[in-house]
Amino acid sequence: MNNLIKAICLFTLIFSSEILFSQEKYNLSGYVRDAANGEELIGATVSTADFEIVVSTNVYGFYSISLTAGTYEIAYSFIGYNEIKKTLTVSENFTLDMELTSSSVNIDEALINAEAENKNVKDIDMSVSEMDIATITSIPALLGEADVIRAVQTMPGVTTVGEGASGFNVRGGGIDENLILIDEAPVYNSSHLFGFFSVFNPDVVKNVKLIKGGIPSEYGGRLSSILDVRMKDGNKKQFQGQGGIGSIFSRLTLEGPIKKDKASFIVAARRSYIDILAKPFLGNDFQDIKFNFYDLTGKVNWRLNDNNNFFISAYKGGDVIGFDFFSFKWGNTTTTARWNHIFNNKVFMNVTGIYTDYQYGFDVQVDDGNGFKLDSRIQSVQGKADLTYFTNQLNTIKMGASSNFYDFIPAEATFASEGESNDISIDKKYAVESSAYIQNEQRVTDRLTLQYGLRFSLYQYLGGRSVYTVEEGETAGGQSEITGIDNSAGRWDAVQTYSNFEPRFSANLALSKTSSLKASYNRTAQYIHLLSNTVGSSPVDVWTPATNNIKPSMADQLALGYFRNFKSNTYQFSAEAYYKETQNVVDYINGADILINEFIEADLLRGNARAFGIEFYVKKAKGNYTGWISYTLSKTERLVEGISNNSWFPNRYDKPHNFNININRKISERTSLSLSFMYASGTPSTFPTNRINIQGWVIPQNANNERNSFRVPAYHRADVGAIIEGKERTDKKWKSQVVLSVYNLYARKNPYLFYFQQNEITPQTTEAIRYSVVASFIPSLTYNFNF
Amino acid sequence: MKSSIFNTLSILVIGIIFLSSCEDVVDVDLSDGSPQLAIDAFITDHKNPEIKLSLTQNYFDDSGADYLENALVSISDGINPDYEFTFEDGVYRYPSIINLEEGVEYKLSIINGDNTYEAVSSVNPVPTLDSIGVEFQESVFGFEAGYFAEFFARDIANREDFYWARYSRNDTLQNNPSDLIISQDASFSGNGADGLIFIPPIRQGINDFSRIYQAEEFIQVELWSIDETVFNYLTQVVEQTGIGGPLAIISAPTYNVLSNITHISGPSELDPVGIFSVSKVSTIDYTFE
Repeated sequence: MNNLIKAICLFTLIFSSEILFSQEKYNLSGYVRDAANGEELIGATVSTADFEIVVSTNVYGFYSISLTAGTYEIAYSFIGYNEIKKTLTVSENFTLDMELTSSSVNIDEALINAEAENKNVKDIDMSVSEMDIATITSIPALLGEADVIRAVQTMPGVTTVGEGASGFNVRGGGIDENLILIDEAPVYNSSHLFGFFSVFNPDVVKNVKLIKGGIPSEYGGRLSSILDVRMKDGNKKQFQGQGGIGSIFSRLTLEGPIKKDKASFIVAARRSYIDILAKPFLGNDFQDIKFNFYDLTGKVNWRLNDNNNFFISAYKGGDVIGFDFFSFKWGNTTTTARWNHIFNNKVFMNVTGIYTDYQYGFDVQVDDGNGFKLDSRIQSVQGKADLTYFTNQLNTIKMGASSNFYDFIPAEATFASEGESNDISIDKKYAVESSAYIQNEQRVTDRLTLQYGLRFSLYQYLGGRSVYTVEEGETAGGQSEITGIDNSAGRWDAVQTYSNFEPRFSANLALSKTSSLKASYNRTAQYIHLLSNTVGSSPVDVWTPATNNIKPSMADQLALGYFRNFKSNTYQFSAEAYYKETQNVVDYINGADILINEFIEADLLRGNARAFGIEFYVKKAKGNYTGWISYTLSKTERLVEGISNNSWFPNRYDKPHNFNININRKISERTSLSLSFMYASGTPSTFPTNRINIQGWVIPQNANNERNSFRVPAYHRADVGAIIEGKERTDKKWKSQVVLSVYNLYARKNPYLFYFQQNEITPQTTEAIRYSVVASFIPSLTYNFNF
Repeated sequence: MKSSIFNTLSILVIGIIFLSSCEDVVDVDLSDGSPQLAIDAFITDHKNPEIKLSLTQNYFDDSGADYLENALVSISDGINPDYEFTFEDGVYRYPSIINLEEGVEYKLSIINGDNTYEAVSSVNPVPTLDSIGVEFQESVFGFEAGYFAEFFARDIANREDFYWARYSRNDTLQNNPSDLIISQDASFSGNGADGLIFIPPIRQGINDFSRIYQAEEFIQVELWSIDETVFNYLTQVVEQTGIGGPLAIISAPTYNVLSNITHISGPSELDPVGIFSVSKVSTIDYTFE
């Protein structure tokens, strides 16, 4: 509590200094938008001509700049847009919304604007990868479909277990340690088709930001990273559409004004059609096959007046696999309602209500009396409010609070056998996670900027179901014993309460105009865990709350970085080192049953994890060739009592070397080529040493009891792509584009895993099988259009 | 632990997803591990008991296991005189059926030199196998036409039961790891299927879709009662041996299956692995016409 009091005192001090000096300072504020469609621009720069004062628009496109009375030339700029300079005489607070025009015709000019900024060097942010949709679409993609998460995986510090694995791993963290947000709503499963595609339709994505370290106080609830995906608001000026016809799915997006410059909408849909295309080629027996995925995204916004903006965005997506009597479905639903309110030129508020769920289900109906049905779900309802106070040139204060109510539905399930049925559902679990934060970004001197804040999180596991307690069993690493069951806690009674203070700190020390040193520390707490004890994660992995038996996890991360731009911003370089320690990571007993298990908590183990690494990143931002190279050298491991002889063992997603290169070459006004290559160390795996002969079966055994002590061979792959723009015709609005790509160009059979089995014909002969998810090259052709 | 119909379906579906996936047999250099004592002791009231003691070998060594010859092997029920086993042709044998008593805990003792190993297992009741249902199946999914069989039995109500169903086809025990059919009550695992007739994937587990039954073939189904530890053991055996192909991605990683054998005394140069189980068995026969 002492820390909190100190923090409050500190902020009071800043506020009072603000009052003292505020007499002659005025705030200029407003929105920066795209002139073509009225979309608010995230991260646009507003600065004085001498670059003495530089601010960026926030995620809602709002900026506020504090100026003493006088005459200024204010520059508004954003990468890919023409800079606008305005000469203004400041003698009172005032509002100025600005619309920038896209400079796609003359890209060099736009990049010169970006160059002047040295934004990556100057920003307090470190360990951040920000991508706009143009960058994401420039990467040659599997089946020609640009994908947000696959793009993120080319960034330093980000790895994946393998092709087709869901999610991604950031700086040695598990896939459930990433907070994935779509318009502020958490997405509990980010994958379609296991992990081949992510749930984000690129046509509606405005901005993607991955935060791996120096996590600002406003974010919480996950240990390792934040993937903040913002959707477009919809064209406020004119009706517009875009879409694509690809090898795996088709997309269509429509957007336009409901009332010009006041209200607009955007709706987008994607659906895969392997099932439809394959039908004519399948025999009669396969006609009932169901196999598709889809997503629908929609958003409306309404600008009531200069001070009030409203947004509602919704997402629904899913995957379906099945035959006539068998179906397996999974998918996410999210809804976000948002209100942006400007109190005055200095105070900006955002209030958000969020509903989100993820569910999966099996339905097997062999005939009338025989079947099995399972539904499992996590849903949450969240309310939050965030306030930004642009106090003066030197301080920007953010504060906020949120509450998130979770319902976990582990299993609603019934069996039916010969007409008799049994309900085997598991009671819901309830929890509420609340938080409050306060943060200040302070320009201490011209060269030193600090961001410091404190987040307080409070978590309660609620009753309304039977609560059991487990105690560690006799053997370390074995199943725990159930020592008590209690039914007394009501629906809103806290069975267990956890709370954490999460300090956050970042510093930027400018070494020169083009170089800086950055450092950060953050503590993060996580109260919900994704249970997955399979080689790769799957749609049936279940989220489970921290309880009286499962402790929340907590991570501390330190990072240090050097940022440097060369040749007038042509090359942007960064090197970062990090060290992260995590307490209470979840592990599993051998053979843990996570599917329908009331006493799942007895099958879980608790351990600690640590990760460290160094990341290099070079981006070439202009010229005929553009692109980036990233290399990460890292290690991630964990220690769990009773596992691997009580020694540290590598995490399943430990990949010491991870190298990515993406190159883009514009060869003419209409054609650009791209090439990417990646190399990553093989993932660790447990292999047997011995065989046990029982009943004629050959059972693999690792007599040394070591987990993940082998590595599958390294993964490497090259992809190429070409984007050919259709001829532009002034008399027609229709524009088209053809995207060609070849994935896995040299057809490498990258191993996903090895498994061991008895030969079918001579069962005493055992063999190691290398399983490759993609074993050939995959060419594709996609036609994109907009009108 | 999926029966073959579900395996077949899942493989078909996932196979479509992972169209370009591929499996290759490859050479892998494995580390050496010290040999361990493997105990294979499944006792039923159906056959003269046999127990095998062997040493584990390198995983790829298929030269045949070395059997342990000079151990003293016995089973006790705490009431009757111990059942002493004698070594003969690589196997420890007892000359007659042991009449296993329901609810009784049996103890296996193995003395090998200065080392003593023990394990316990309980005898549970087994329901009668009621009937075999047979249906003629037209050619489907490109498989041959033939007979599709299922065994009917009802789980014993109001108690937690564990079973292992085995079947012989034309007097050959179908014993690949993928043929293992195990159930908790009338279903795969978890509570809730208590007192039901075995659910379809369990009772239909006696079919091989790539080799559907033809007229004049003969099957025998055995239903064994097992205890919870043995059920967990067999579940783990299935996880560790029975899953390949695209399903491997969403299967458990390699781990060491449990053992209910404990090293009681002695210098212990050999760690024990394996299982001791006592089962009551019911059987049913059927000849396809």
